[in-house]
Amino acid sequence: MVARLASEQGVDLGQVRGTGQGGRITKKDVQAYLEGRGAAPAPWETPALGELFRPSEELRGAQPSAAAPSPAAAAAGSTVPLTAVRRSIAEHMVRSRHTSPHVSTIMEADLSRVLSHRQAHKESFGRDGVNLTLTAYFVSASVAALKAVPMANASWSEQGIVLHRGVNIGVAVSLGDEGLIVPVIREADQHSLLSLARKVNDLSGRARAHKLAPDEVQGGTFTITNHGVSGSLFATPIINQPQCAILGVGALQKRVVVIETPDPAGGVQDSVAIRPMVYLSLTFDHRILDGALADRFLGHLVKTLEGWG
Amino acid sequence: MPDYDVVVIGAGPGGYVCAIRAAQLGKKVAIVDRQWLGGVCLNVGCIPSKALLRNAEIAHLLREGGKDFGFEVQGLKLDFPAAVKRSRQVSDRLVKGVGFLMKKNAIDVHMGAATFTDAHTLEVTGKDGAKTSLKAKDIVIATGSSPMMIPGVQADGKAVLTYLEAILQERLPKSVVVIGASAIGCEFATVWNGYGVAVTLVEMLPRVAPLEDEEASKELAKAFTKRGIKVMAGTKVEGVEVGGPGVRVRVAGPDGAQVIEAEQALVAIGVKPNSQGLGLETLGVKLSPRGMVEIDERMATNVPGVWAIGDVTGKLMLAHVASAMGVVCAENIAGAPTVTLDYEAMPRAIYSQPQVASFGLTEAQAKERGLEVKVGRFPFQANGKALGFGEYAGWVKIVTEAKYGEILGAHLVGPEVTELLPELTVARMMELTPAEIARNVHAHPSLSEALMEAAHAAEGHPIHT
Repeated sequence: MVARLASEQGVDLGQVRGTGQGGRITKKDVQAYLEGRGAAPAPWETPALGELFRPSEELRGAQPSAAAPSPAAAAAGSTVPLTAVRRSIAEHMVRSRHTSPHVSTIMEADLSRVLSHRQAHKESFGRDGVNLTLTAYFVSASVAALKAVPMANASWSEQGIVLHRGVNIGVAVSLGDEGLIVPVIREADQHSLLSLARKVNDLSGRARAHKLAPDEVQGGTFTITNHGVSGSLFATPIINQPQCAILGVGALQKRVVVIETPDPAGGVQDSVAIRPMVYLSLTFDHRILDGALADRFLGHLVKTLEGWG
Repeated sequence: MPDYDVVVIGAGPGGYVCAIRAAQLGKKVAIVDRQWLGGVCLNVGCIPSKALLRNAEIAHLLREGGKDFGFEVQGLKLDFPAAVKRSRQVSDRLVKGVGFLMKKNAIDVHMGAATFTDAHTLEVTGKDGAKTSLKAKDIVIATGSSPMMIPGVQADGKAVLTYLEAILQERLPKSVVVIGASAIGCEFATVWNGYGVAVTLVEMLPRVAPLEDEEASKELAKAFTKRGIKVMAGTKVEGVEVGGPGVRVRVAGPDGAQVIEAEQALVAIGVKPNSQGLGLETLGVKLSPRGMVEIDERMATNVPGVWAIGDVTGKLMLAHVASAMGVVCAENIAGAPTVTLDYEAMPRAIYSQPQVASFGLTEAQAKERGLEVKVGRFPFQANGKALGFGEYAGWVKIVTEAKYGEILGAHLVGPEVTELLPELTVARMMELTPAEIARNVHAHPSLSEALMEAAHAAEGHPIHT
C-alpha cells in the first residue's frame, strides 16, 4: 500500500522516516511526510536521529565527521552513497538556512554562583534520585529569559508572529555516531529546578536508550544545544524550525577575568580573578528578532546565571 | 525493598502471559489468582467449549450426515457426559501446562483474593483466610470479567444458566432458550443443536452476531435456521420465570409478545469487568462509568506503577487481545521495545457451525467513515476443498479502501474460517494490499484459496467467479 501511495503521490520513500516495526515505512509515515511537504516547518516537528542538529564541530567545519566526508576527502571518482538520515539532515539544514535569516550573538557568563549552588544542592537532589546537571540551570535560565522576552518564544508566519503560550524547551542529546535527538521539556515554566533536573535526566536517559515516545520530541518552542561537551567554545547552530532561536552553550572553562569593584574613593578597583566561564551564543531568526532584543534576551539569561541563588 | 518487581492479579490469558513476558525480561514476578490458573478461558470458557463443539460437530454429522455421506446408524447413543468429561480433560491439561510455565519462568503463584493496600502493596487472602502481603514495584490488574445478568433474573445453575454452569453441566436439556447471540450464545446454540436439543436463540439487537458485518449475520442466521435453531432477532426478553418443569421466557419482538417455554435458559448477554473489591477506589485508579479500568496505550492506569490489561479494561473482551495487551504491558514495564496495539485490527472469532471470523471495519462502518470502499468476495461453494469437505456454506469478504488498496477489514463465514484469519491480519499489520495476497500462491486445494480468490476479486480480476 505504501508503494502505491508513494508512486501515486510522487514521494521518494528515501525521504520518509519509517516508524513501523523494524523501521518500516507505514501509511502514517507517508501521510505525515505529505502533510509536511506543503508547509516547510512540519518535518522539523518530528525530528528523528540526527535530523535536527549536526554536532557543532561539523557545523563549523572544524572536524568533518566520517558520516559527511567532504568531496575532497573521498577518493577521486568515487561517490559515498547517501543514507536516509544523511539525506534528511541535508534537506532540513538547507531548508532552515533558506527559511530563516540566521544571526548569532555571543556573550559570556560567570558560573561561579551556579556552581556553588550546584555543589550545595547536589547531595540533597541526589537523595531524591536526581542528578543535578548544569543543563537544568540553563533550561531554567532560558525559561526566565523567554518570559522576559516573549518574542523569542515565537514562530514566524505570513499572517504574523505567533507567540507561543507554552514554553517547551528542547534539549539536544548526542547519540554519538548515530546523530542527535531533541527531547522536549513541555511547559518548562511550570517546573522547579528539581523537577527540571529530573526531566532532563529522564529524557536524556531515555533518548540514549531510544525509548522516547514520538510526542516527546515534538512541539518545542526553543532549543538548547550544549556543544561545549565536545570542547567547542562557541558555535552558531542552525535554528530548529519553526522556532525563533537556539541557545548554544560552550565549554565551561576556568579563565582569568578582570573583576571591577568600587573602591572607597568612589573610583573602580580592578583585580584579576580565576572564574568558571562559559560562552553562550544565541542564534536567532532576524525576521522575528532584531539584534537589540536578542541581546536583551541573552543578557537576561547571563544575569540569571551570574546572580543565581 | 519490594518482594517483587511485578505482581500480576489474575492468571487468565492476559495475566499469565504478562507474567511470563515480564519474567523473560528479567523481572522477578508473582501472580495471584483467587480461583485458578488459566482463568475463565482455559477453565470454563474458550478451551472446554472448543472440545464440546468438536463433539457436537461429530454428533451432528452422525445424526444428520448419513444421507450426504452414505451411512446409516442404528441405535445411535450420544453420551453427553462423556463429552463434558473430555472437555474437562482438555481444560485440565492446559491448566497444568500453565502451572508448568509458571515454574519454568520462576514465577511465584499465590492463590487468593488480592486487594490493594497502596499502589505497591497487595494483601492476598487465601481460601483458608490467611493473609499475605506482597510488595511490588509494578502491579498489573488482569482480573477479567463476569457474566452480565438481565436485571431481576438470577442464575440458579439449574433452570437459568450462565456460561459458567452451562460449560460444566453433564445434563443435556431437551429444550433451551439462549438469550444473547454473540459468540458465547452462538457457540452454546451450536453445541446443543448438534446434540439434538431444541434451541431458541433470542437476540435483542436486530440480528445474530450483531457486531459482525451485516452479511455475516444473515449468513449465520440462514445456516442456524437450516440446522433447526429457532432464531429470534430484534426480540427483547422481558422476564424469565422459573417454576414447574423449567423456565418461561417472556419476550417481545417483531411478532409481538410471547412466552417461550423450555427446560433451561442460558443468559449470554455480555460480560462486565471485575473491577470491584480490589480497593481501586481508595487508590484513585480511574474507572469508566461502566467500571472499566482506564488505561493508556502502554497499559498504564492513572496511578504510577499500576497497570491493567484484558477484559477489566473493556477494550475488546477477548482472550487473545488480553494476551497481546499482557505482552505490551510487560514490555512497557521493563522498558523493552514494544508496539502499540490497534484494537480495531484485532481478530474476532465465533466457533459456531459455520464459523464466523473477522477483523477490522465492516463494510457499513467503512462507508460511514466516508471511505471509498471496494469489496472482494468469494463463496466457499466454488472452493474445491470446501465442497469435498461437505461444508460449503459461507464466503470470504475483504473490505478495502478503493484507491490505495488498504485492507480495512475482512469477514469470513464458513468451515474452519477462524484458521484463515491470520494471513489477512498479518497483511493488515504490514499494510499489504489484496494485490500481494492474490500473488501469494496458495496450496490447491485448500480453504485458504478462498482468500486468494477474494483478493483477486478486490483487485478487480477474479479468476474463479
